Amino acid sequence: MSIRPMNLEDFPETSFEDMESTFGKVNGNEEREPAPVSPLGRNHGILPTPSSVSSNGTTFSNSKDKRLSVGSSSRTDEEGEEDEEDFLNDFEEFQGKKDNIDDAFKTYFNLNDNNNKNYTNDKSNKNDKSNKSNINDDNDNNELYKQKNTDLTRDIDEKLNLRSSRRSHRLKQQQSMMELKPHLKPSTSFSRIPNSLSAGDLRIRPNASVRFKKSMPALSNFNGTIREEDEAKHDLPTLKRPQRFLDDFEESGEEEEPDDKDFVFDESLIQPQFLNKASESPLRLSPSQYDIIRDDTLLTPRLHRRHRDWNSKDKLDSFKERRKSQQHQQQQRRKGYFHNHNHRPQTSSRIQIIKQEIDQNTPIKNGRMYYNPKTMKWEGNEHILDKFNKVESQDEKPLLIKTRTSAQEPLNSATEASDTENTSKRTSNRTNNKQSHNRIVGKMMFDEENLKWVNIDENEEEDPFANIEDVVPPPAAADFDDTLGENTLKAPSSRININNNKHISPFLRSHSQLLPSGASSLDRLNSSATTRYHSVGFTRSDNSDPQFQLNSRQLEKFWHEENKWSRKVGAWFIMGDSSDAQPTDFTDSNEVKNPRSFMYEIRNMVLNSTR
Amino acid sequence: MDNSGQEVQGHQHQQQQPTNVKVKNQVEVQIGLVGDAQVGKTSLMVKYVQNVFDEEYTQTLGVNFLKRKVSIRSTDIIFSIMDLGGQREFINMLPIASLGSSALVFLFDLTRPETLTSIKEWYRQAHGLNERAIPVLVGTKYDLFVDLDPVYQEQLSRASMEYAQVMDAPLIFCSTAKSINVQKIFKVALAKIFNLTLTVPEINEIGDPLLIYSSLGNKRSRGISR
Repeated sequence: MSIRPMNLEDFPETSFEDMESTFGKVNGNEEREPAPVSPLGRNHGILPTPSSVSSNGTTFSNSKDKRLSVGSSSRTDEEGEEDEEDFLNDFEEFQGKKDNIDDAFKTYFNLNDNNNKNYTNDKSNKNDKSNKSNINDDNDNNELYKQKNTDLTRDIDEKLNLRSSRRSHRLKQQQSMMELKPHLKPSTSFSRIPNSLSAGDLRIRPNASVRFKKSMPALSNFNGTIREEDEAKHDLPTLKRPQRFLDDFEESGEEEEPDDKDFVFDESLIQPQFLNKASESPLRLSPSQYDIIRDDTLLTPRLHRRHRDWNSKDKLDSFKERRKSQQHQQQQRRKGYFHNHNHRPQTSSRIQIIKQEIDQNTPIKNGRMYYNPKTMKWEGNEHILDKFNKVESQDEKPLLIKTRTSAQEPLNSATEASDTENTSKRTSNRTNNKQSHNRIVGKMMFDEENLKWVNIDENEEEDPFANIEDVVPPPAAADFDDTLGENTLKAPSSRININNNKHISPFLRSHSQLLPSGASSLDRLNSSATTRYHSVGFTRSDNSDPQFQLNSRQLEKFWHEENKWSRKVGAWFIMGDSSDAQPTDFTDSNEVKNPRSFMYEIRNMVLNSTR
Repeated sequence: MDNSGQEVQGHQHQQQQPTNVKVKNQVEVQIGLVGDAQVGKTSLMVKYVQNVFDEEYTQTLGVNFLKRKVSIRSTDIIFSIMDLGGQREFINMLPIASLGSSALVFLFDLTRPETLTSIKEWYRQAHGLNERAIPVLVGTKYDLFVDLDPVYQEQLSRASMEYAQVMDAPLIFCSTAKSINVQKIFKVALAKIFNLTLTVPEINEIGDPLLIYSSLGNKRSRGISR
C-alpha cells in the first residue's frame, strides 16, 4: 500500500473509526487481489481513497461520490470497453472522483509545449502536429503566452507555480462551464493536485465546523478555530520550506557529473606514496580471520529476501489479475442496456501487421543510429553498454567481509540439539574463543568483553575529546515553534519515553539482524549474547538528561490520539506488555512462531467488522 | 537532441450533443514491445487487448500493431502497441516500434537467462533511436519460472533488478498465461508517461511476480518539466 505524502497535521480530527474502516478496505484489496476495487467501490463505481485520513462516513463525500459516479459510469457504458474505474483507481490522481482529471494530461501537454520551445530548431513534423492539435482551445492563449514568456518570467512562474495554476484554473473553468458541473474548489492550485483529490481534502476546506464533527464530543474544552489558525501560520512555512531548501543541495545523478568536477587536479601534487601502487583490495585480509563473500544483495536493495515458501504453480491464482470488464458486461447485460452500446469503439482491436517494405540488406540511418545490414544491428549508442558492464565487472561488486566464524559452530548446529541447548552451547563457545585469541592490531587490542578496541598500554589511553562537552540533543523535533516564540511546556515526563525508545530500538534491531526470522520466541528470550551486545549502547542514555519541549498543541494532540487509540483497542488485548513477557498466552493458538500474530488477528477483526 | 519522444498526440473532439455538451480529449500513446524471439511479446499484446491467450507460437513477420482504448473520464487514451518481431531479420524495423513510442517495453523470458542478456543490445539500439521513451523491463512466463530452482530464481531476480536499475526502468514479472501483472505493465507505463502516481502496491519479494516501479523510470518524465 502506498502512503501518500500528506500533511497529517491537516487532518488531526479524523477519528480512528474512519481511519480503520478505509484502511481495512483498501488493505483487503491489496491482499494479492489484483483488481483493486472494494465492494463499496464497486457499488459506487468509485474506490474510497486509500488515504488513511479520508473518511467515507460523512455525507459530504458520499453524496459527491454518487453524483459523480452516475456521470462517469454512463460514459463508460457508452464505450462498451473495459472497466475504466478499475483502471483509474490504481492512479492516485484519479481516485478523487474529480471529473476534470484530464489535468494530468494537460500538464503533460503544457510541459511538452515548453519542451517544444526549447528544441524549436529540430522540430519534427510530428512535433508540429502535436503542437497544432494540442488542446486547440488553448492554442491562442498558448501562443500569446509564449510570446510574452521571457526566461525570467518563466523562472519566476515556475518557482511560484503560478503558470500551471493559472492554466489549470482556466481549463477547469472552461470545463465546468461546459459540463455545468459544480466544482467544490475551483481555486485549488495545480501544485496541490497529487493530494488534492481525496475526499478528506474536499471536506476540510470549505467549512471548518464539519471537520470537528466526529471528534467533537472528545474535545469539549478545545477551541478548534484557534488551532486551525495556528496550523496555517506555522505548519505551512516550517514544513514546506525545508524540503525545497534541501533540494538546492541535492546532488545530481552520478552520471551527469564528472568525478573531477570539484577538484583542481594537478598530478604533481599527489604524494609519491600513492603513486603507481597496485590497488589493494580488502582481499589481502587474513582469511583465517575474515570470510569474504560476494554480497550482491546490496546492489538490489529493492528486492527482499524470501521468507515464505516458494511459489508453486497452483498458488499463482493469488496473483491473477481479474478483468472486471467481463463482470461488468455481464452486469450490464443483466440490467438490459448492454445491447444499446454493443458496437465496438472506433479503435477496433484488430491486429494489423506492418511488413518489410525494404530489403533488409539496405543500410538505414536514423539520427545517430546506423543500421548495418551485415551485422543486422543498429550501431551507435555503445556507451550505454558501459553502464551494464559496470554492474557486471567484479571490482564494482560489493563484498561482505565477516569475521570468521569459529570451526566448532557448524558442528554444533549440525547436531541440532534442542533450541535452548544449542544457543547456550554457542554462547559458551564464543566466550571460549574470545579468551583463546585476543586480536591485536598495532597498539590496539580488541576487548571482546566490551566489544571495543582499547590501547594495549592502558596508561597511555587518554581521551582527546575529554574537554569537549557532550551536545545535548535538541528539543522535540517538531518544535519549530520555539523560534516563533510560542508558549512551550517542558515535559520532563516524556523523558521516560525517550529512554524507553533507546532501550527498545537497538534491541529490536538486534533480533531482526541476528536471528533468523523463523526463530521462536524462546530463542529470543535466551539469546543473552545479543542483549549484552547492545548493552553498550545503553550507557549513553543513562548519562544524558534529554529534556523535551512540547507545546500545548502537541500535548493536546497526543492526549486525543491516545484517547482514541485506547478507546479503539483498549479492550482487545492486554496493553503494556508484549508477547515476550507472556509467551504462554500464545501457545494455545497455532501461531506461536510469530509473536506479532495478534496484530493480524486485530487486522482480521477490523476487516470482518467492516464487511 | 531529437524529439522522438514527443509522440503523444492530443486531440480534442468536440461532440456537440443536444442534451449535454461534452469535451472529449483523446490521447494517443504509442508503446513499443521489443525483445528476443519467443519471449512472448505478441502474446502479451494480444492478452492485454483482447484478453485471450494462445499457447501456440506464431512468429511475428514484421511489426504487429494493435490498439486499445482506455477511457479515463473525459479522456480517451488509445494505446497503440507496436510489437516488433524478435528475429534478427526484423531489427531494421526497430525504428517503427521505437520512434514515436512514449514507452518501450523490453521483454525477456524468465526461463531463458540469455534473453535477459540480450536486453543490453535491445536497450542500446532502441534507446539510441529514441532516448526519451520510458523503458519498462518485463520478465515473461512467470508461471514457468516458479517451477525452477529457487537459487536460479533469486539469481535471475537480482540480475534483472540490476538491469532495471541501469536502465532506470520499472521491473515487472508477468505471466500472460495466468494473467499476472499484464494490465499492470500498461498502467505503470501510463503512470510514468504522464507523471501519475500509481497506487498499486509493489511486489518486491524474490519469488513473487515482481512489480517494482516507484523509484524507477522517473528521471525522464521529470526531465520534461525542466
